[in-house]
Amino acid sequence: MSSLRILMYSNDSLGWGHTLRALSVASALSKALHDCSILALTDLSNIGRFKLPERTDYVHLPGLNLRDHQFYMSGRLNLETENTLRIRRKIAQSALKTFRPGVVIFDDSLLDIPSEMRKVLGCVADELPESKVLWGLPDTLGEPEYVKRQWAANGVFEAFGHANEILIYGAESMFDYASAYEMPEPLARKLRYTGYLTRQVNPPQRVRVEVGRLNRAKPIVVLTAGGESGDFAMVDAYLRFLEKAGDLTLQSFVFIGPAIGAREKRALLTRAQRLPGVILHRVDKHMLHYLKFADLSISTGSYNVMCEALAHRKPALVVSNHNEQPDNYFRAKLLQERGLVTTLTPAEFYPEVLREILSKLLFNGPRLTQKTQYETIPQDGFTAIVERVRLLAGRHYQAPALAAA
Amino acid sequence: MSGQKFLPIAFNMTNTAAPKILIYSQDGFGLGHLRRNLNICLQIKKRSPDASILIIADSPVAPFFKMPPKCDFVKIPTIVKVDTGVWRPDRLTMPYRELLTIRSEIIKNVALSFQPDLFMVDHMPHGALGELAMPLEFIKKHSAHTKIILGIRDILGAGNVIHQQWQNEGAFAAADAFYDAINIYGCAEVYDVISEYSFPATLAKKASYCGYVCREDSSEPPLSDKVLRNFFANDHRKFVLVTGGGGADASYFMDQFIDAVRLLRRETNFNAFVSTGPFMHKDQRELLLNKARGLPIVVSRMGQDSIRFLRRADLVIAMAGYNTISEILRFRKNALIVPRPGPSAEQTIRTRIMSERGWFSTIHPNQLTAERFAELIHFKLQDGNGMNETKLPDLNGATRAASALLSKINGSVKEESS
Repeated sequence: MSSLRILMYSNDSLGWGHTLRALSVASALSKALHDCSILALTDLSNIGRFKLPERTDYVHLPGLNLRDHQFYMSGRLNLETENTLRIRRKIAQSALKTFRPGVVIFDDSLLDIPSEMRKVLGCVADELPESKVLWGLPDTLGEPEYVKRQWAANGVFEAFGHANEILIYGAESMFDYASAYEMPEPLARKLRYTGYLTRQVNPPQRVRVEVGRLNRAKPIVVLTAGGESGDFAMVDAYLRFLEKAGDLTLQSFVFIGPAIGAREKRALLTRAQRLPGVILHRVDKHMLHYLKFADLSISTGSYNVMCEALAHRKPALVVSNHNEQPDNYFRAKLLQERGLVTTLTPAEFYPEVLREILSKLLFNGPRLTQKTQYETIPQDGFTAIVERVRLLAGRHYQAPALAAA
Repeated sequence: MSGQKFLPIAFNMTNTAAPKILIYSQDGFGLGHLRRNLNICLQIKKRSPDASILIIADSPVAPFFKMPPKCDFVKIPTIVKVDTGVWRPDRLTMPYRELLTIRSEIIKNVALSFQPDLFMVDHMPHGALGELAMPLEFIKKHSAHTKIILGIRDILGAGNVIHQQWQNEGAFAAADAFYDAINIYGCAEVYDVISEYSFPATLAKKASYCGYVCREDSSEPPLSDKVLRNFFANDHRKFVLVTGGGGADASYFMDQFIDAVRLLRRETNFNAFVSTGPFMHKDQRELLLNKARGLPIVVSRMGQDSIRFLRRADLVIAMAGYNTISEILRFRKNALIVPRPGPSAEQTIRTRIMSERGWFSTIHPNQLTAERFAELIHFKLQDGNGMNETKLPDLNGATRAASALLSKINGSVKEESS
C-alpha cells in the first residue's frame, strides 16, 4: 500500500493569501495524516521564503498578473498570456500524471482562470479517475448576483461536477452557498462547511520581541493594507489621522503591500518615523501573527485576516470597496450584521471618521461585540478538513502504525 | 578591462522577436548555481532587455535572489545529494527514482511548451541522475531551433574523478549528442578543464572559457556606515565578514571563528558579521548565536544583500564556493579561505591553486584550531590588503557568457513559434 499523496493547487496574483492558506492546510494535514506527502502547486513568487510543513514540497508555476479582476495577463515573462498559460498547464498536468495524488485540493483562485481550470480538471478526470477531488473555498466569494454571473461565464458548475466534495471554510449559518449562488441540488449536496480556519500557532520570536518592546498600557492597532492598489491611500489616510490625533495614545503596526513603490514607501516611512509608536513593515509572512496582539485590526477584510481577528476575538475595522474587492466587501457586511466588525468604504476612511470610530472601539463605552457572538462562529476548520481528507482518501490512506511497546 | 577584447560584436535585438531562454539550475541545498545563473541573466538583460528567461530551479528557497525583470522560475520538487552519487528527495516520502520521473516530466513539458531559443544547462550534461536525458531528446526532436548550451564552473572536482564519473554516467556522450556549445566559467590558466577532464576532441571543440562569473555591475554599493551602526556600537573598527554560502556545512568553521575571537578578546579591534545562510540548521545557528554573546559579533542569516557586506569588509573569511571566491577576486578583497574538505575536491583544488598565486590566504579545516585561526586573523588584519593583484583571472565571465549565449540565437534562423 502506498502512502497518501495530496496535491494542492492555488494561485496568487495579488498578495499571498491563497498560498498561505494552502500551506496552513498542508501543515494540518501533514501533522494529522501519517506518512502523507503533499505537493503544492502555486505561482506565488516568494514562496521560497515560507517555511514548508513536513513532507511538503512545492512546484512553482510562472506567474500571471491579474488586471481589473477580470483578465489575467502574462506575468513576468515577456510572452503572450496564452503561452504562459500553456506552460502552466503543462506543468500542472505533468505534476498530476507523475505524482499521482490520491487527493487533489483546488483553491478558489483556480475558478478565475477558466481555461486552466478546465484543462487541469480534465487531466484529473482522464488520468486519475480514482483520485478524490476537493475544492476549498472561503466563507463567501461575494455578492450573489456578481458571483453567479462569474460562475456562469467561467463554467464553474461544470467544474464542480468533477468534485467529490466542496469544502467551505466558513459556516452555513453565516453564508449559505447553495441558496445564495443557486447551486443545483447535486452540487449543493457536495457542500461541507468546515468552519473558519483559525490557526493555533505561536507567533515567531521576531514578533514576540517586537511586541514585547511596546508599552502595555497603550492600545495596539495593526493595519494591514493587503496587496491591492488602494494600499497607499489607506496607509496615507491612517498616518494623516495619527498626525492630527495628538492626544490619542496609540501604538501601531502598519503593513504596506507590494503595490506601494519604493519612493512612496520611503515617504511613508519618513512620516511614520516622525510619529511616536508607529512601526512600518512590508507585508510579510509574519504579518498575521501580529494580529494576536492587536486591540484593533484595520484591514481590507481578506479571509485570512478575518480568521485571525475572529480567532483572537479582536475588534476589527474593515475598509473595503464593492468594486475593488467584492468578496471582502461582502464578507465584511456579513460580519457586520453579526456585530463582529465595523465597516467603512475607502471614501469614508479619513482622519475625522477614524478618530470617532477608534475612540469608540478602543477607549469609550462598552465593547460592541459580546463574547457570545464569537461563539456562534465555528472555527474548527483545520480539524474538519483533516477529517474529510481522511475519510475520502480511502485505500490511499495508510493508518498509523501501532507504536512499538 | 580584461576580457573586453573577447566580446562578440555588439548585439542588436531590435529586429528580431524577443529571445526566450530556458535555464536548468539544480541546487538542492545550495544557492551557488542559481546565483551564478542570475548573474549571467542580468548581463543578458542588459543586452536584450526584452528577453524572457525561465529558470528551472529546485532550491527550496528559490528564487532567493531578486529576479531581473521578465524572468520567472519553475521550481521542481527538491532532491538533495547526500554523498557522491547518492541522492534523496528532500521532503516528499517516495523513492527518488519516482521523484526523478516527476522532475523529468515537468522539465520536458516546460521546454516543449516554452519552445526556448536557448536551453542553458548548468554543469550536468544529462542533469542530476540523468533526469535531463529524456527531456533533451524531446527538445532535439520537437523544438529543433533550440540551441542547447552547457555551462560549467571553473572546477567541478578532481580531474580523474570527474572524467571517470562523466564517462560512467554517460555525461560525455550526452554532452556530445545534445550540446551546441560549452561555456566554461573559468580560465584555462587557472584550471584547464578541457585537459584536466580529458575532454574528447569533439567536446573540446565546442568548449570555450568565459572567465569568472560574478556580479559585474556595481549597483550594490558597500554597506553604509548607517547600516553598520545598526549592528555595531563601535563602527570605527575594522569589519570582518564570515560567510559560508548557503550555510549547510558552515557551522564548524564559524564556531572556531567565535572561539578565535574569544581568544583575541583584548586585542580584538574589529567587528564581525557571521552570515549563517538559509540552510544552516536552526540548532546550529542557535548555538552560534549564544556563543557570540558579549563579543562584537553579529550572527545572522542575512539575505541577498551579501555582496554589500562583502564590499564593505576589511577581511572576508569564507569557504571556497565559486561565487564567494569570484566576488573576493572581483572586489580585490583581503581574504582567508577555509575550503570544504570533501566529498568533492572542488574547493580544496580551487583554494590550492589560487592561494599559491597569492590571491588569498588559506587554512585547511583539519588544521583549524582557535589559536591558529586567531593568529591568522590578526595577521591578515595587520597585513591590510593581502591580495597579490597580478595575474588575476578574467572576471567578466557574466558579460562574456551572456554575449556568447545571445550570439548563438542571433546566429540561428529563428523560427516562428506558435
